[in-house]
Amino acid sequence: MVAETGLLNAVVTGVVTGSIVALGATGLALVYDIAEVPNFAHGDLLTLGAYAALLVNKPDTVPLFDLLSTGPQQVGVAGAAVLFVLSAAGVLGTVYHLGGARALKGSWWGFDAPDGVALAVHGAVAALVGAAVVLGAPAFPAALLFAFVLLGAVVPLLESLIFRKFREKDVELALMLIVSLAVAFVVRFGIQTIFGGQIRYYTVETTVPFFGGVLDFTLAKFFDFFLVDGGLTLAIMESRGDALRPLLVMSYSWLELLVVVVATGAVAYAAHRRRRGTAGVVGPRLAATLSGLAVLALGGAVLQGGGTGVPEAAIAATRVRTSPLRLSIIVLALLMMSALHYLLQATTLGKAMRATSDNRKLAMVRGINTRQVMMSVWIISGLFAAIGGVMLGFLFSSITINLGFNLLLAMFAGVILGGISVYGAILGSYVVGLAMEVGIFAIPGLSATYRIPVAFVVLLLVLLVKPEGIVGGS
Amino acid sequence: MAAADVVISFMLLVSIYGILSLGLNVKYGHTGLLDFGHVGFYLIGAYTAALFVLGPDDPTDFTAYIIGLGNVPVVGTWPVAIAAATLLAGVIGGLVALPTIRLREDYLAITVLGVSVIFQRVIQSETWLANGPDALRGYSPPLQDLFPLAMETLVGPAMFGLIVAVVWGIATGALGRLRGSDSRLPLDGVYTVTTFGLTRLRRRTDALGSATTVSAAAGAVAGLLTFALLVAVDPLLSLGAVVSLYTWFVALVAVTHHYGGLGRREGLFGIALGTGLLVALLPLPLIDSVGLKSALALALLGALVAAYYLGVTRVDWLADVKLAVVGVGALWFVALWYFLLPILGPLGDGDVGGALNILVQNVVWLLGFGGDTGIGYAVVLVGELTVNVDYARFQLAAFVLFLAGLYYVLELAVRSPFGRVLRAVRNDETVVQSLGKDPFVYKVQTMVLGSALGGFAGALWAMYAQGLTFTTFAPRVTFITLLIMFLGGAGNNKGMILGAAIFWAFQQATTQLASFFPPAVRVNIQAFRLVVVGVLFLLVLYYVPEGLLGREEGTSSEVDG
Repeated sequence: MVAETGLLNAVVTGVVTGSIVALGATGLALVYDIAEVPNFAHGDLLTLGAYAALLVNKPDTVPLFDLLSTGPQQVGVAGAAVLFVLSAAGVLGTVYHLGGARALKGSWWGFDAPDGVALAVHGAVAALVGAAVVLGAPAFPAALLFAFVLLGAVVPLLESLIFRKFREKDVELALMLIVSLAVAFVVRFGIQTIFGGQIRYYTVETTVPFFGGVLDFTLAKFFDFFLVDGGLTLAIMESRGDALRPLLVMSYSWLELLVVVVATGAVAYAAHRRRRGTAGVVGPRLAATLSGLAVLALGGAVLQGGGTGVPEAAIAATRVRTSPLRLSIIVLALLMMSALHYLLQATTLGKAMRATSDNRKLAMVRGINTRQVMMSVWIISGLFAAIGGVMLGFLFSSITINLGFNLLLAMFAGVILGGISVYGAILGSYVVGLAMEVGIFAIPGLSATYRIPVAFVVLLLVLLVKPEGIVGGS
Repeated sequence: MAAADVVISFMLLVSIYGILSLGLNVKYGHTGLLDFGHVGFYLIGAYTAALFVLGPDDPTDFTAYIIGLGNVPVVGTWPVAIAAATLLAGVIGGLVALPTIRLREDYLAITVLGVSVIFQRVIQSETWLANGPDALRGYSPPLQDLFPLAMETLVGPAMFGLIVAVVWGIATGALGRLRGSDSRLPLDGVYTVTTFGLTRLRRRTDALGSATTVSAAAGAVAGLLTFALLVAVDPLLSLGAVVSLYTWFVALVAVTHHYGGLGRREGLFGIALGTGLLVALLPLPLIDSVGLKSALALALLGALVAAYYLGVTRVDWLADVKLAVVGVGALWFVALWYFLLPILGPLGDGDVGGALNILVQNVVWLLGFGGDTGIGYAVVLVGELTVNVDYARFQLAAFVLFLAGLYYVLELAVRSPFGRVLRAVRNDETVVQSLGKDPFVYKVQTMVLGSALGGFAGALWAMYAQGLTFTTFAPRVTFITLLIMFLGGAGNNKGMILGAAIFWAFQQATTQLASFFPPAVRVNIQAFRLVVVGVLFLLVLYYVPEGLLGREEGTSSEVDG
């Protein structure tokens, strides 16, 4: 029997969309919350990241830089030197934004270290990143790394060159909004001035060795779920042309399913109880989620019965159509968010950021370096934008000037839904992503161009009921 | 294309964007509502107007739209279409306002931006509504088949009389405002003549005596006289010349009035700036290599900007007039471009007659020259001139009349008690509330009014462009409107017209520059000029946040007095 895509497919797609939105929305929310800039240029920063990666991935198509290129996707010694200098400068520039020359000597480390050691460490990291980019070029990870470090240094310049000037004049929020709109204009058309109007794409080797065979991670895979008399069967299939090739079939009896579900619930509950009242990096809810997921994965792997093939008849069947690339975006987003979570909860800088977010005046009175906090917010915003933009460009396999701007409204919807806080924005982004995909699936006759409108209808409905967003209470 | 035709298409765009910006100014400038979705109402106006004047949809062709009322008598005409566009945009503006207007200003801006994107997406995806992603075409602007005007019938003189009436009325109105300034020119005498003695009406104290009535009456008299003269004899060229020269005179008076306060060295510095800009752009037509000419032009422009920057920061007498000298420079540049550049070619060939011919064509801007149809004249020294009145001139008269009319009505509204409440809402809602007025009601009314103006501008755009595509109505339009508003001065209606004029002057000038580059890099050049626009916007926001004209606060003493 052949399964059709259904609600579950829309949900999975929604989680992927939500992850991309979240990668952008996190930076947007940080800047909105702490630097108090509703940054309309954020979408275009994603675009900037996507185009920056082209310098590594396809140097022969970048105007001016192509003079140094020696062949398709190849750079000569001079081009490699430029890439090395740019990425090393990206690392050092990022650190420099945290407090000038003193930051390079380790003032932001949170503990005392000799100046020489700090300088050496920063220099070594810069050289390592530069070497990694040059040696890795033109592979995708090197391009991603390059965009990452470059935007970390470039994006804070917006703050120090533009937004800080306006903030010092004590302008209204409305004017800040308009300033950021003008910045968006400059960034977007600045990119177009250099790259022109044609559509670009990354050239990436998409097959990887996998369990002895090869796996194309951009090709769609089908995850078919069958509810049969005996239990649940999951078949993972790959489509090559018209033929469907089963990669893996897993089946579970009702009893096994029950055991896994009960075990998951029990472990999650236990973890929640154990961590209750602690305010560390891993709080009760996170602990419950992580341990629950671990048990679910473990149980699923251990108890999977032998593949009996795709069942002939089933009570219910549904198909999830996705690709390893899409799933890896979820993983990447979760990794980035974990890193940010760690930074916010466990480091001095993160504590300063949270304090500034709560009450900027009080934070200043207590001796928190709010300028450093402000700059670190912009750095993080740039780093997330780079990842989001490059992944977006890879996923769509077309990089245009409107790449990021098209996502801006979804990101804003996520941020406002979450009440302008980092954690709220992550939640809001997933709500928006799910609303977009499930909405398109559930409302018949709604074409895919209505993704953003659906997100906005959700936003409007929420704002009607709670004008401060889902999470925001104050 | 003669320079005059370029200026006419420029003024058409200024009228449309002036009205659009007046709408945004009602929302933000007067009431403080930050509407990032203003383009949505522009879109609604444009598509509504087009659907009113389009003929019924032919199911067999490639276009599809929901309804075409063009064949319905009365309903399918442009006046009804414009009225419907205005009304519908206003109503939808009110409906959008109901749920959003209570939100914080940043939330409001983002949600209405989203609403405008939704409108755009609806047009894009619903192919049955207005031809979906493809252009909606197939209608023509009103009375277009009458042009170029045939002067043998009564219709031709009547239409030209209408054009003259509008131009004369507005020029006279402007002169009436400028008359009070001390000038060496005999303004009072000229005013008495050009109002045909109607200025005596000013002695009356009732509505008939207002300056506006006098200008309108003068325009009407001028139009009637034109009509009579054209029917009786055939002096089209002379009439066109007289009216055009009158407008140039008023423009000259306006310039001397505005910049008369500048000393000689300030004026010379401005002229040097304008000439410098021209020199900086010279490499573009003269050098062939793209890289070399862009580098050279950019270097020269950079030097010019640096010289200006050093001048206004180091020299005391320049610092006080830093904006005025730029204005003088820009006007000087425009004057050189308009009068001098077109005749350089013939002059270089020693063809004085040809040069004079072109000069006359540009001075007598009210008439079109060349073409197959028209009235032929032979003028001493100048040579053969084929004169006609084309549609663009008629459209210009209509659009400028709309702009002037709406400006006048809005000025009245701003000075009325209603306008004062709006300003109070912007400044402090609590005060409004404590006086027993509900700010919510006023905000919704503002959204209705501002959106209706946006819809009106959209209808004019539909008429001007003669074809609509959803891509035109991108959020970029809102950005440009915001730029115009901040350039002119938020809260100042006159500033909207000035801002639109400056923006479109820049656009037209830079569009011409792009033609000096090979087609392959024109996209990059177009993008680069938008970067310049963005940077200029940031500079305006930082250095002159009040705009060039500043906020115009109608105080109560002004209203009472």
